[in-house]
Formats: sequence, C-alpha cells, structure tokens
Amino acid sequence: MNVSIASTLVSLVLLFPLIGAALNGFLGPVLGRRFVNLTGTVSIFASFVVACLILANVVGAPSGQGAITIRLWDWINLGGGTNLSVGMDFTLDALSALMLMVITGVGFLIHVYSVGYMEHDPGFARFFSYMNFFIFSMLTLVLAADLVILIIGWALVALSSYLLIGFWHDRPSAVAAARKAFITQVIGDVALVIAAFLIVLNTHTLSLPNIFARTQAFPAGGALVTGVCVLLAIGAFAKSAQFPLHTWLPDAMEGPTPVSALIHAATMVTAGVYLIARFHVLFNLAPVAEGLVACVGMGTAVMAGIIALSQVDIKRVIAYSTMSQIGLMIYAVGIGAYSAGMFHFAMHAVFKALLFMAAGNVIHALHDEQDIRLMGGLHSRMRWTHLAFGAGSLALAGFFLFSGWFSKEDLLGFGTVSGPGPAPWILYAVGAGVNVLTGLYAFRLYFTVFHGEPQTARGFGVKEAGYPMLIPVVILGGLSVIVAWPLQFPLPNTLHVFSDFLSPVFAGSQSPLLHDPSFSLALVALVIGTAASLIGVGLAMRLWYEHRPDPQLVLARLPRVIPLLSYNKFYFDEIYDRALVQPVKAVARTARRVVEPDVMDGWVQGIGELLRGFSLDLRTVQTGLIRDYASIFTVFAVVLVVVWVFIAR
Amino acid sequence: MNHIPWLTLLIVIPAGAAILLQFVPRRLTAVVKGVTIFATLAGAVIVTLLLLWLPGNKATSGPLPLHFQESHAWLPAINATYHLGIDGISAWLLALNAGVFLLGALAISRKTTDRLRFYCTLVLLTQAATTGVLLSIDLLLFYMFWEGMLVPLYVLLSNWGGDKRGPATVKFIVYTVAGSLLMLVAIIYLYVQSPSGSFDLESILAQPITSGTPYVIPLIHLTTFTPKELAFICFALAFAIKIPIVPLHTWLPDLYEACPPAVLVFFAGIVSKLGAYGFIRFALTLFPGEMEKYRFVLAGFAVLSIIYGALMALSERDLKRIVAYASISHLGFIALGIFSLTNNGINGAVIQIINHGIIISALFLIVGFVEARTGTRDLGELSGLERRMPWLYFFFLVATLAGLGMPGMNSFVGEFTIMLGAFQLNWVYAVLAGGGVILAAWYMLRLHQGLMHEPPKPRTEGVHDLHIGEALLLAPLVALMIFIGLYPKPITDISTGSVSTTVTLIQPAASNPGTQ
Repeated sequence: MNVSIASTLVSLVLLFPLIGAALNGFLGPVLGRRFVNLTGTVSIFASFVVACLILANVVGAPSGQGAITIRLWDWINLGGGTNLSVGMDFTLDALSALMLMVITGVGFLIHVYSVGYMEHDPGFARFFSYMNFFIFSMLTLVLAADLVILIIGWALVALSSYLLIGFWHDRPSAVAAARKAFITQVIGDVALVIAAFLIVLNTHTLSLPNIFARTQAFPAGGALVTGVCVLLAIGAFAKSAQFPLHTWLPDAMEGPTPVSALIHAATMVTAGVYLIARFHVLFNLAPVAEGLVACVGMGTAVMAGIIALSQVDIKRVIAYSTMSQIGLMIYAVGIGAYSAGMFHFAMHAVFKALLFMAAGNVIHALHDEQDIRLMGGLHSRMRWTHLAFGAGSLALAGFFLFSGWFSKEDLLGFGTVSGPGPAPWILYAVGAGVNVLTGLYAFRLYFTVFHGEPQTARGFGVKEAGYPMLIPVVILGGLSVIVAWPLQFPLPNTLHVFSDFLSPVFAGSQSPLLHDPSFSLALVALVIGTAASLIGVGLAMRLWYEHRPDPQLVLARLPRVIPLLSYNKFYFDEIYDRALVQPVKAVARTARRVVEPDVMDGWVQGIGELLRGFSLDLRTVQTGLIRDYASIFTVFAVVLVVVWVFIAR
Repeated sequence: MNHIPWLTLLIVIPAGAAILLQFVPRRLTAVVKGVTIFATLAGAVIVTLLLLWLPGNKATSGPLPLHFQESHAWLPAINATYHLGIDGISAWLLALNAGVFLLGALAISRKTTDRLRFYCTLVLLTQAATTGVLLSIDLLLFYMFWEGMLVPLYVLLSNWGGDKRGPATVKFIVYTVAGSLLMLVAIIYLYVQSPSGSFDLESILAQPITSGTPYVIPLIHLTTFTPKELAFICFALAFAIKIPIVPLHTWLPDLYEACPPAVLVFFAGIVSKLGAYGFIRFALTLFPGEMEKYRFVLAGFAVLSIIYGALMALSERDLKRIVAYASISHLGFIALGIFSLTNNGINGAVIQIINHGIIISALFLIVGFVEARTGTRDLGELSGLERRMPWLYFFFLVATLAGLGMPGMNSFVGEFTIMLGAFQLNWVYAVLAGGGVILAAWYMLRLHQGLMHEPPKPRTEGVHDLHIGEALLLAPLVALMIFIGLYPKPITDISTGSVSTTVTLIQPAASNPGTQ
C-alpha cells in the first residue's frame, strides 16, 4: 500500500459519513424522509466498503509493512522541538483497520435499524445527521496518528454523544444527561491534554509513531511515564465509563435506543480500551499504571455487575452490563493482554449492539415502556427478537461456544498468571465471580422480559418489529453465535487468527506484567470460567424462571446493605452531587453575591469614597481667615525643614 | 505599491469617511450606512493585502523587525515621531480590527438606530483610533490614539447605551483613564531616561534603559522597586485594566450590559484585546527583565481571571453578563499565554486574540438577536428556542463549542498552545487552567441548553428564526471558527517569527537579570 492510495482511502472513509452528516443536516429537513434514510445508510455503507479495502490492504501487505502513516496537511508549526508542531496525520495498521471494520460494519447495521426505529420521529434528519457525524468522529479518533488529532477525534466523539443523548431536547432529563456526559468527557479531555504536554516536552513530538520510537525519554517505571500513563488512563476511564468517571453512562440511556446500541455499547465507550492498546508502548514501561488500570477495570466490572442485578429499566440493565464488560476489557489491556482485550471489544460490539437493538424492538412494541417489571411473556409474541435476544444473552454470559465465551475466557486465561505475587489469582477469582454475575443479570433480564406472563394489557397484543428493525437484529444474532469460531480459541497453541492479525501492532514491546499461561493451566482456568458462567445462568434460571426459591426471599436473606447499594448504584450520583457539584455552585453563588460587589468592586468604590471624603475634609480648611492659612503655612514649613534635615540628607 | 503609505491610509480612511459623513444629509440613512460599510470594507481589503504581502516584504533591521514602516518627524521639539509599522503579531490584530468593525458596520440597524449619522461617525472614529493604537511604534503617538479611542466610545455609550449606562460609563472612563495616566508617567520616564531622548520604541530598544537603583524607604531601610520597575508596573496596570485582569475587571460586566449589541461587536471584539496587544508590544519589549521577574505573579492573576470569570459566568442569570464573564475568563487565557513568556504561550495568545474576537462577536450578536425577539435577557425566562429557531440553534451550537474550547474548534488551538506555554512555566498553572476549561464546558452548556432546550416558555412561544441578513452576519464567523480549528497554520506562519523575536528579547534578560 503506497502513500497516495492510503491517503485516498483515509480521505474517503472519513468523507463519506461527513458528507452524509452535512447533507442530512442541511438538506434533510427539506428533502424529506426517503432522502435522509438513503443518505444516512448509504454513506455509512460506502465507508464500510472503503474500510474493507483498507483491511484487505493491511492483510495483504508483506509482513512488517502493514502500518502506514500519512499526512493530509500541516496543522500548526511553531518551529518544532518543544515548540508545537502538529500535522493532520492518520495511520493505517491492523489495530485501526479492526476498529474501522467494527465501527462501520456494526454502525451500518444500526443505521439500517434506525430507519425503522425513527420512522415516526419528526427529528429524523437531525438524528441521521448526528449519527453520521458520530461515525466520522469515531473514525477520526481511531485513525489519528498524532496525539492532537486523536484528542480532536476524542472530543468530537463526545460531542456527537452529547448531541444524541440530548436528542429529545424537550425532556429535561435528557438535557441534564447530555450535559453530565459532556462535562465528564471534558474532564477526560483535560487529562489527555496534560498528558500531551508531558509527552511533547519530553519527546519533542506529538506524532504517535515518533513518540513510540523515542521511549528513551521515558525511563522504565519512572514517575514521568507513570504520570503520563495515569493521565491517559483517566482520559480512557472518562470515555469508557470506568470508576470513578462512570456515572454518565446509565443516564446516557436517555438517548434513542439506536444511539445506545452504537455509541454507548459498541463503539465510543470502548475508545478507552483502544487508547490504552494504542499507547501500549508507554504502558508497558509503567507497570504501576498498568496495575492501576487492571484493578480499576476489574473493580468496575464487579461494581457494575452488582448494580445491573437490581435495575428495573431494560436499557439501564444493559448499560451497566456494558460498563461491566468494558471493565473486563480495561482489565485485559491493563495486564498487557492487548489482543485479548481487543478481541472482547469486537465480540462485545456484536452482541451488545444486538441486545440494545432487540431491547429497542421490545420498547417499541410496548409503546415506550422500559420498566422490565411491566414486561414478560414476549417469547411467543416476538419470536425472532426473542431468539436473537437469547443468543445475545448467551454470548454476553459467556455460555459455552457463544462468541462471548471465546473472548472472555481468552482474557481471563491470561489473568491467571499475569501480575506480581498473588494478584493474578485474586483478580482471576474476581473475574470468575464476574462471570457468575454476568450470567445472573443477563438471564434475570431475559427471563423477566420474555418469559412468564405479560404484566400489562398491552403486553398481550404486541407484534413483532418491522423488517428494518428485525433484519439487523437477526444478522447480529447469528453473528453472536458463530463469529468467534474461525477467529480465536481461548487456549494457547490453538487457533489464533485474530491475535496473529493484531500481533504486528503489539509485537514491538511486551508488558512486564503479562505471561503466557501454559496449556494445562489455561485449560483449568477455562473449565472454571465456563463453569462459573453456567452457574450464573443456572442460578438465574432457577430464580427468575422457575421462581425456586422466590427471588424476594433470597433478597430478604441477604444483608440489607447489598441490595441497597445495588439499587442505589453505590450512591455515586449523590456523593458527586454533594461533594463536587453543590460546592462549586455554592462558591459561584458566593462569588456573585459577596465577592464581586463587596471585594472586587468594593476596593474601587472604596478608593472613590476615600478621595471624596478627603476632599470634603479638605474643604473645611478653606476658612478665608488669614490666621488659619498662616498657621498651616508655618506647620508645613516646620515639617519640611525637619524632613530635609533629618531624613532626606 | 510600496510608495503608497498603506498604514496611514488605514487610519485616514475611517477618519476621512467620518468627515465625509457630515456632508451626507441625515435622512439618507442608506447612504450613511453605505459609506460606513464601504469605509470599513476598504480597510479590510487593505489589511488582507498587507497580510498577503507580509511574508514577501523586507522587514527593517533592528531589535524589532517592522514591515511597511512609515517614519516622519512629528513634534521635533520633543523628538516625537510619526512612526508606524506592523509585524506578524500586529498584522493579525489589524485583521481582527478590520473584521469586527466591518461586522459592526453591517450589524447597524437603520430602522432602530436613531441619529444614525452621528452613530456611524463615532464608530468610524473609534476605528481610526484603534487602528492607530495597533500601528503606532512611537510611544507618544500610541498614547494619543490609546486615549483618543475613549472619546468616541464615551459618546457612543452615553447616547446609545442601555438603562444603567450612566454609572457604567463613568466607571469605565475613570478606570481606564487612571490606568493610562499612570502609563503616561511611565512613558515620560522612559523618554527622559533613554539615552537618545526619544519616544520611539525602536530607538529606545536599540539603547536599553538601565533599571536604576531601587528606592529605599528611609528609617526602616526597606528596599522597594527600581524606577524602571515602577514604570513597568504603571504600564502593566494600564494594560491589565484594559484586558481586564481580575481584580481590575469590574468595569467590564456593567459596561457590556449597558452596551448596544452592534457596539459590543467591536467593543468586545477589539478594544479589550488592545490591552493584551500592549503587553506583547510594549511591556515585553521594554521591560523584559521585569516581565521575567514578575511572570509568576502575573500568571497567577491570569489564572485567577480564568477561574473567577468562569465561576461568575456560572452563577449569573443575565445573558450579557454571562457572556461578559465568559469573556473575562477567556481573556485570562490570553494573558496567561503572554505571561508564560514562551513561544508556545505567546503564539497561542495571538491565535486566541483572533479567536476570542470571532467568538465573542458571534455570542453578543446571538444574545442581541434573542433579546430583540423575546424582550428579555433573563436566562430563567428563556428556553426551547431550538424548536423555533433551528438556524440560530446551529450557529449558537458552533459558537458555544468554540466558546468552551472544544477540540476541533478554533479556541482549542489557542487554549492548547497557551496551556502548553503555561505548563512550561509551571505545571500548576496548566492544571488550574484545565480546571477553567472544565468550568467553561459547564457554564457554556448552561447558557446554550438553557436558551435552546426544554419546552418553550411564554416569552419564547412566538419567535421567528433568523432572517437572511442576520444569518449572513453569523455565517462567516461560524465558518472561521471551524476553519481555524482545522487549519490554524496560516495564522502562526505569520506570527511565529515575530513572537520568537519578542521571546529572544527576554532570553538574555533571563540569563542575567538586572544588568541590562
């Protein structure tokens, strides 16, 4: 692949969605629904075709020449060195090609789905414009070969997410959710920007290939590289909804369901995983930061899994499950198992997009009902959606031979040996616990929604969704069963097409934490992990399908604190509100009511008053009496002489 | 073409047009507005040409390389000269100046402005003065334009201002005159001290002034400032008031609140940037040692401006006051870039001066459009405009994103480079400025969402969208916000040479302070 072909491909893959966004936004309201449906989907499909060409080029390139960096134009040049110099650079390699395929492929299916989902919404043109713009932003993010350009893509993604969360802008809750999501993202952006400063001042470049070539600027394990990696990780946590910056994701479900499927499940929220994988060269030099990332990832996976068990909004359950699964990916890239993390990202994109879209079909059929306590008995009424949702749930739970099983067991297999001391075993045990949790919440949702009896009158009369909403769901349902089979098997020395494909990207440096497990160890881990998933699914079946024992009884036996924490999402919203939002508002109020009038303006007014008072006092001296003037004259003369004699000389 | 005194023309055109207007009958409002637009347009064309010619133009040799310089005797008795010139920094300010006045002229409403001819005359005179400020190399000439600018502004505000114009205008005039009188004292000090006995910046720089011995307070023997430091403080105060830097800012919100929108376009667009320009052109070059010595304190005040302005913008309810405090916060970024004394920071400041002029003009235009339709500026009474005004929503969205420093928009370029410069000074400043960025997202979204989203209130029920003329005012601003964000290189290609000249003036002073 030469530079000019690469430039053309990159320009095309980016331009198609951008043009789609512009056409839909400016002409869509005039030209109507058919035009918008066509432009919106075709632009993404065109982008997908180009992405396939890119993939073919990357795969077909001779070994060692799969990566290429191109410059579209100079962005700024203040002289180089520590003075900023940035180009509009993009890179094509296995990692970005994989991301392109997932974003445009899953993205296209979700656009098709949106045609059906937004059929009756008056804001269809705006919706497709924002969705196309999101694809453009996300592609910019994963193609960027310069940290500044990456930050631009990073923030544009947050912008499209903001626009789409707040899409129904008449709802105050949607507006608040959009703002919360955006401001959380800005916190992450600032962390990335400061990381960029540390990088440019030490390596004299912001171009990613050059940064990774100049690692001599970063002593291994030193404070500098650890600081850079922690800042990058904060950016990743904000985007991937990891503790402590996770609270925006459940609220983001205020957006239309295709948005949740595309942005808040399949693509945007996994950008943090991509970022850490992209910066693996630096992370491999900072084991402390890697350990932090791994622990945060696993911690979030557990926390979100527990919360998902008690939520009653169908989309929020899936949102917490997303948070939990991304936690596993973050854990994987934290211990240095980059290919395994990216593999789980790809599999998760398929089955999570599916789950959201199937949930969207349910919500649509029940006329915007999202409370799972009011659902039930849909399996016979929405047969195809039910089948696809079941396949997706099995994949999510990591059921034997479903796609999630391959990827989750793959990353947990590395977890058995990677890290110092007993850490791998503790984290692996927790990971197995997450498997149980996943089976539990996934099938609590599945059984509550699709089995039992309909809980509302409307539930008896539901009909299956129309074709635009059904076909993408069925395609992804099929994929979530079989897509992993030809790609990767979660045991060493077996089929590894996927990690072989990515290996040129990660071959250059290896994490000090990562060790390859032996075949027998991996086999034991695989059996335990598979069993854990089965236990989760089985427990869920007993509790929510057979009601033996009744879930309410189980709940009553647990210590009260667990359901309370779970139902209230560990009180993070309340804590942040009291500890951050309200104090800042109080300070701002004080600034306006007290500081501005009394201090800032006060001292100026004070000088004015002082001068006025002084002149009023001085006026009394003007008596018109010669003796007063004479005495003042004498006093001043004496003072002047004293000053001159004793001080000034 | 080099025989034409382009820079003089830039001052003469608006001033001449102001005189010409006096011969146009008052009733012919179309002609009055036409002349005004034509004059500002001519200025804009000349500035564009100068920007295009600048890279190929041979600069003067000397400590401060100047282009298109004009130098004539002015008051030979005191050796004051009529010395004009531009460099890569002032060229961009000149472009901004021409742009905002053109916009200000286009934004004049013939229907609602009474005494249109007088109004236009004052606008043109203001432009002549601000242009003079940007072109002057001679300190006395600079001072004359600097003070002269206040006269038409005062008359504009006291005649066309809003309800609270009286106290606001007085506060503004007293504040700025106090600052400039201090500057006049400092200018006279420099004149007396300079070996050549000149007001000319170039000749003063050629033979630097010694800092002198510090004053010692008798009896307690407390060593205070050197005379040169005092002169620096006078300059710094004058410029800091104009920017303004917290805590010297209280004239600005009151004044902006009282200011009519069409005046705000150029008032907020260029006048407040002249303080920043003054720092770059005069404070940095004349007092490199003093800048070096006080940079941490000054940068501290700049950061205070960023945070304090942001907090105020977060709690205000009046649209104009929110934008005014947002403006103080943004100007704090510009000041921070200058005080970092680094290539990155000052280049960032130049970019951000232009960006801020674009963004703030757009925001005030939008506030004006909303106020004209709804009759209120109270955030609590406004909501749901997106549904009624989709085009305004689009323009306002871009302006909001630019205002909050969104990567990909113009202000990100400026804020990124400024924060990098601040990081080179000390990382704490960059982190605190980062806090300002987060607050900016908060207050800009509060403003934007408050106006645009949720169901409409009674005031916003029957409003109509922008008409074509209004949209055409905003469209170029919004296009520039996006374009500069994607391709900022043209700006810095011209400014970076002059910036590094200025920074190298500081470097020798940095290595051995006090000996110059």
